[in-house]
Amino acid sequence: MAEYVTPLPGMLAFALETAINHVLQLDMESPERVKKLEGRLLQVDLEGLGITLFFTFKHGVVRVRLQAEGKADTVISGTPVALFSMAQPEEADWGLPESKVQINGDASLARDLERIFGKLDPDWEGPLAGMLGDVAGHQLAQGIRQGVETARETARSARKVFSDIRKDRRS
Amino acid sequence: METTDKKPGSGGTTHFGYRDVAVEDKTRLVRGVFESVAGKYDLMNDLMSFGVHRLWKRHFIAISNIHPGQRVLDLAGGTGDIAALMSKRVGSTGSVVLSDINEAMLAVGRQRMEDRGLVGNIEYSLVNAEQIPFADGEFDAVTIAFGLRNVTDQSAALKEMYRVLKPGGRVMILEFSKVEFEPLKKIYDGYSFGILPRLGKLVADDEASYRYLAESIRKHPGQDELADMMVDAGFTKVTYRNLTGGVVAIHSGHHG
Repeated sequence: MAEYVTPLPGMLAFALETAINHVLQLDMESPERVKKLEGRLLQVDLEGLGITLFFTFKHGVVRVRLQAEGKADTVISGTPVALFSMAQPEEADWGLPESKVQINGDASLARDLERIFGKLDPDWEGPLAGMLGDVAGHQLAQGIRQGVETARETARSARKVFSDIRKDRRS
Repeated sequence: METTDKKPGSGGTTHFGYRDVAVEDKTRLVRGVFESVAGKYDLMNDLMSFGVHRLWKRHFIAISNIHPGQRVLDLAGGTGDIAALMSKRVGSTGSVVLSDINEAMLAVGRQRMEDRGLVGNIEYSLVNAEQIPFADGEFDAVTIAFGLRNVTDQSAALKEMYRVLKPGGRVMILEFSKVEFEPLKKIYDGYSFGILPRLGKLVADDEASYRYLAESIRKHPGQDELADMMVDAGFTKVTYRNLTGGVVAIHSGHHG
């Protein structure tokens, strides 16, 4: 089991767990979808960083740890950039050999996760309106929606540029 | 989690902070703490959470999905923070029952509601969460914020919450929980056991009550453990979300 010298891997796991659950919980259907993964263990090897993360699922919540008991059902390896493409379900080519993402073990777990994120429909507006009032909440929710779409568009463009560069080098 | 029988008269023991006490004694001891801090309850919450409890409570209500016209039971409602926010949500066609086991806390809550002009859709009731004096299926939602850890038999209380909910109704629990991120945990423990009791002595001249509050948080079931207890009580769609790194968690479950 990996021992880390710095607290950074722990911080990464904590930040990732917080971010994933925050987004999942904005969609009321997500906890029930995540519950279907209960009892399964996902191992993610972040190549280049030398960090291994373990994902478990209970009560509709995703937990991210640096250690886990038992053998992982699925091991996914890849660079952080390659793994990021998993969060882009509309461009779901991460399972292909050229995607640089390697999957060992039960690939259905990875596909189930992709489906969960693909069906996400976060309600940014409800909680924000409840906390900040209808007008400010609506405006902030709009801003977040646009920000998310911009980030997705940027990621799509970057992937296309990299893909074009690779093709140019081959030809 | 305690394994002893927590029914009064069972001869079993339970925890009161880090002390083991007879089951019969816990309710009385907790009452003593809250009678002691009732007048300065808001100050206590501010000290325990750096004032963040106000945001936690607003978030709790924001995600409650409670609609106008619904009937809500707020257990261990204390000084009425949740009931006040909830009364605006349910509107004039709905109603909120602000309840607490402690008369002193309920009196403070009632006074504050009236001072804020919140009348008409709020009722008040002295309620032991282990024996809720309402009919089956009477409420659309049951809430309990920072109260469950002070209940002697939490499993019994959860079953009672389930009983008084309508089919499809929802329970929501806001409570201090377990911080698992080690650096944050160290800071949190240092504050809870090093600084908080001293602040309690300084501000309220009541170090023991504040020490109990810190200890009771550590003895409270963790996120998964409480969710398991909710499932055992009959709730479906049980889930939780951590706030502030797990310092508190919001658990929710449905009836049927």
